[in-house]
Amino acid sequence: MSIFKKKHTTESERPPVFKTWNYWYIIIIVNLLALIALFFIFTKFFE
Amino acid sequence: MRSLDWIVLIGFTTFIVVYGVWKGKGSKDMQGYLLSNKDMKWYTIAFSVMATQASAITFLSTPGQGYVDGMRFVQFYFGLPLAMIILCVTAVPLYHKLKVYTAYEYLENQFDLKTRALAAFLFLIQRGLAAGLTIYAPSLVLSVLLGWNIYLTNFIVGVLVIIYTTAGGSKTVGWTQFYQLIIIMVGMFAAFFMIIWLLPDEMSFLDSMKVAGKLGKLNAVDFSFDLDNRYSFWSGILGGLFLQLSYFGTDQSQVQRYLTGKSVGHSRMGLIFNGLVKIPMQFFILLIGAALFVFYQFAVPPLFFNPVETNKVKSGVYGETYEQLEERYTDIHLSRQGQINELISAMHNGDAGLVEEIESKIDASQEEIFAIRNEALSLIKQNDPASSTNDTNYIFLTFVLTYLPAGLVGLLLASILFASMSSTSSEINALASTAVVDIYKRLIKKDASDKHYVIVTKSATVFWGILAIFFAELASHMGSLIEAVNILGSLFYGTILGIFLLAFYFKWINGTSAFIAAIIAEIFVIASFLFTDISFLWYNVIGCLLVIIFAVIINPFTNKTNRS
Repeated sequence: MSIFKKKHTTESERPPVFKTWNYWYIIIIVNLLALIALFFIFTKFFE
Repeated sequence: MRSLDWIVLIGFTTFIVVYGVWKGKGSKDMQGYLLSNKDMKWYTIAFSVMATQASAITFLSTPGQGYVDGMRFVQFYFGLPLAMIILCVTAVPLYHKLKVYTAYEYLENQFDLKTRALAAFLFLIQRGLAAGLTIYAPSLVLSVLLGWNIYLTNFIVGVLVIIYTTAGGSKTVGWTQFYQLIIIMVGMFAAFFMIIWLLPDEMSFLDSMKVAGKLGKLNAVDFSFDLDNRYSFWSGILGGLFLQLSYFGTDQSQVQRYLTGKSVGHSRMGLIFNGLVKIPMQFFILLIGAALFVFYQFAVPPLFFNPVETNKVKSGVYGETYEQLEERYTDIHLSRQGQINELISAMHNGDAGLVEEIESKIDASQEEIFAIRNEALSLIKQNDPASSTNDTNYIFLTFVLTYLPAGLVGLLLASILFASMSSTSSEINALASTAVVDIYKRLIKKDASDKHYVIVTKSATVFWGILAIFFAELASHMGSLIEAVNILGSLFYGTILGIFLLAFYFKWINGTSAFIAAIIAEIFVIASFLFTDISFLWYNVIGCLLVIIFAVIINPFTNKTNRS
């Protein structure tokens, strides 16, 4: 994570809401994991 | 089609074309025409990227896929969010920093002119042919179900796209896609709510989901590792990652969308939004298909959804047998409606034993339905060996045309046409950009004025648009051409991805090695196609790996300094 921060986050490219882009990337991964978990529960519930 | 449907369809289409032409005014130089002066905000990029990927067949075929095969197709997109992160970290800042117009310019920066020209040339062949299919596929479905003239439909859709794409370039493409996707999604939501509304009164939404689940249509995730299983968690997350990386990272029709961003931040946010929203969107479209399946438990569906093929078999020597099958099919469906009503009341009463008993009855009738349908498909094939027995693309639109009220049908038809138009506009915009920036400006006429290049790019847009219409018309004559074009695409995609992976990650490989490796890999891929039985989807993997392997082997023998 720190490598990404040093290499790719400059002042002019600051992301909205968060201080670094890493938080957005974490949100994407958390969202993906949450969707997979949700789909798994969905599959099992209606099976 | 009723008058109100025509009014809605023509009204929305006119709005998009007029708005597109108006919005593109002022794109006078290359930066303006090809990159929209880099003024696009993140939400326009996000919608544009999503609209480019989702062609009309996505909205026709995906509900059909949900109807036939359940929800498991959603796993195909599991690799997409990860691909978005990788591209946000690598490709997006790199392309912005180098101020490139096309992805292939980056290859000259990393390797040399010949490698750039080779990748651009491969893209032009592949995407040039695919653009015709983007127009043809929905035209075929609309002509079959509505009796429209397929040649005229291809022509009108193609000409409308050429008009607004040529007028405004990338700015028009981005903004029309923004509104087109909104209209498409409004149409899809309306269709979903109509399906739920048309279910029997005694059936709630939750009941319908339970029935769909019991009938095996809500299988969204499968963690089993099986190479023969096309859609599983593993194939989606691994195979999907590579596929989406190559598509979003090296295909100019996508790269050009996020290159129009105001800054690296806006381009990144566009891709991040795509990474967050794409899977729920696909899940929703598949859910429409699953809900449609429940709906058709209470309304007898056609035995085969393609009316042209049905009429053909009915008027042939097997007509009587086919009609007998239809009668049996209707009888079983009607008796199954009673079983499903019993199932719902047993579920409401919490009687697990009875639920199990009814489920086994439903399974038995389901098998009977499958058997009748298979008999029908073999009759269709025997009657005409050239006919297609895949009716997935016709399921959703058959429902729309049969059950939806006036106005909404027009909206859904507009949605299908817009999905086709949005993908086609991206494609011809990208083809024109690549042809002019990577070939004409770099190899044929280097020092002309900006105005000259804009005129040439506009002419190239018209040229690629006409070529797309031509291929769409040709596809109408030759059914097998569709598969041929898909194979042709796979012949080149792997090689292009291999070249880009060398540029990104193999810094010691020089341009000559990359170029020779790409040529040899391409020969191997074509030889595999000509002399082996390997399925064409594997050509992507073979081409990519061979480029990397050959480049690593050749590199020590080429008299060039390495790039790093």
